[in-house]
Amino acid sequence: MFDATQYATLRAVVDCMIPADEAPGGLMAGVDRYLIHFLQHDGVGFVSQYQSALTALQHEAELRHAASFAQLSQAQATNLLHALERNETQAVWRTSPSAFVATMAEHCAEGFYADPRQGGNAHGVSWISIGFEERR
Amino acid sequence: MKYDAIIVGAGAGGGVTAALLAESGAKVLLIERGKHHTFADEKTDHLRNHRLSQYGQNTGPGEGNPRVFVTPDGVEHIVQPYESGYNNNAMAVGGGTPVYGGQAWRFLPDDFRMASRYGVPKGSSLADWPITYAELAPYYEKVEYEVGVSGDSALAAQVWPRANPYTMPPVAKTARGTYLQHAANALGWHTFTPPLLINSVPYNQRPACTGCTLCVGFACHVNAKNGTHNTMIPRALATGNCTLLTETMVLHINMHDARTAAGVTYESADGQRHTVDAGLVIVSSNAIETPRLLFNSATSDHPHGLGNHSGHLGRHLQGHMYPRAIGLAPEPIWDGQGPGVSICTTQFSHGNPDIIGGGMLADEFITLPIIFWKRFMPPEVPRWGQAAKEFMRHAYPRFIDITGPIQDIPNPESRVTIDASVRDRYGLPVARLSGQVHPESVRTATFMYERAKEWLQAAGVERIWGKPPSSWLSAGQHQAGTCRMGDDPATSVTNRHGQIHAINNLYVADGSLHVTNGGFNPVLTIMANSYRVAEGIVRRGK
Repeated sequence: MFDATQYATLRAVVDCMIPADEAPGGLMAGVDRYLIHFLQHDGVGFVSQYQSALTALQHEAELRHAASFAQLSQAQATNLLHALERNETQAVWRTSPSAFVATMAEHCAEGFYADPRQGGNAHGVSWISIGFEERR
Repeated sequence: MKYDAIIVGAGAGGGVTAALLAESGAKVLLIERGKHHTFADEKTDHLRNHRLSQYGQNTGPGEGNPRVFVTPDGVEHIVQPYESGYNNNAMAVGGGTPVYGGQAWRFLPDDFRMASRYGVPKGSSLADWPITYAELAPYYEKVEYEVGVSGDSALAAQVWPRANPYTMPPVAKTARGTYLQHAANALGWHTFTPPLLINSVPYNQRPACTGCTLCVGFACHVNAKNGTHNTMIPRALATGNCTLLTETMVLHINMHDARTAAGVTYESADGQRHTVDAGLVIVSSNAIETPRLLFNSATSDHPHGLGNHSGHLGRHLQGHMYPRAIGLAPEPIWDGQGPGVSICTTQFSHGNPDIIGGGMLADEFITLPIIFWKRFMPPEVPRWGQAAKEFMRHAYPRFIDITGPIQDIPNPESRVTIDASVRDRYGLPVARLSGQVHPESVRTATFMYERAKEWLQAAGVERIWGKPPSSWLSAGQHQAGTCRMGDDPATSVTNRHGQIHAINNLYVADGSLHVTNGGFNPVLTIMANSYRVAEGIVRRGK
């Protein structure tokens, strides 16, 4: 579904959207794995948007910072995604940058806050941090 | 074989009707397009359930059953069951009842006489019911007892005239409920624990609620949630007089002559089509699918649909606007206690200055984290990054959500018709939903939104945000009104007995009959009114 660069970019976006702090972030919770599974199943309609946007994101990083997106600092990556939310681009985008950021933010939240049975939120790490405990 | 009665739809209305008719000795064919649905089927998926269904849901209908939804700009959208414009109610044995929250409201006496009390606003079709609260009260009590309702009898008795207490005590109050109780006391508002179709103690040979975190939107893992799937439908089947067909779609009602229904034609799960005859046909398919079936059964005698002699079939569609205000308690207040809803007020149901009707306010059912993220975040809070993560961590343990249905002011342009071009998997025209809510409903919703904020302010919350009311058509789980009852055939679809005016043996028994839909969750009224309709059929020997 993704080449190595696209996949590295995807992971870097996850890390930026749900950063690790005193509590685990999106990568430790397996949000990247959740996204792959989702895009292979119910999210199959989003695949071309992701492929196109992840490639454009890499070009944005190269044009702005002469680096791959995955090599950007947290601040650089965050600022770049904020620029995309305002549809400020330097690379060629075949899909709406702001729509992609909003879409991927929602998918990341699904992988982070939904139940671990869906493939993300490993060991319920997000629930521990917000105080939710699934109880029968 | 010929049945005494065919009931189309095994939901809240059809399930009650099936039990009453089968127990009277009638041979009943109960036809349901959905499946039996149990907790074991659904894998407790936080992303695919009846509370959050954008990727699918845990009940029917499945693929091949679109609808057309017309947005206020006049654009038609083909929508799937898991999309909001579909206005879905669960399709399963029991209808919405296996997965609902089960708020068990009686409508108030004035809810049955809205036009008399308030007059008829311009552009609305506000009308009185042909029956009074007093006529329905005995059936409310039967349903509360036979299906099973827990509630705060003494405090509820200050709101409704009622003969006897609830059979079960109220469910547990949450920390949030207690917090809101103090605020309501300071405001001088009357509050109580909402009545619920949930066992607070063991009842009807089934256990008590465990207070788990998966409630509304899911089947109950200990079967403590009371719907027709585990009460009235098993009763019907236990008589030996009722045959239940599942995954079976009724395609049309067949007419013997202009005034007599002959039976139905259905398609079973194996794709075979069958025609069966019956002395009586009762449609209980909900306020969207019931009119659709009646439209799709048009004949030369009834060219615009069965029951559409007056042009009212499918009109007055309503399903409750829900104003909502959210606040953050100064300290964490989340205690993980299900079902979660534990305090309400009917202080503003009627008697509000310059408002037609009003509404009920309650706290929210236990809310899953991803649902909080998707629905309850303030608009200005970022959806990603460190700030979003910190907000979830701060807000989730502290949030209080106050919401509730308002008394919709019906209008004839909010309606169900059948689409001229879009067909379902059976080749039948699909339901087409169009119209907007009446401006008076928007005013009421705005008024109730302010009351919700007032309650939160009195509680001393940190910040308040909310969802301003929208004028879009709302006709989901609370859908009602499309086959309204009335004594005058010129302004209604059925008579007070639920019988289609011009057809002697064709009945409706579901929320379609509701002339108005109260400012409350309607399921107890659907059950009670269906009980009344069914008992009338038995009494008159039809």
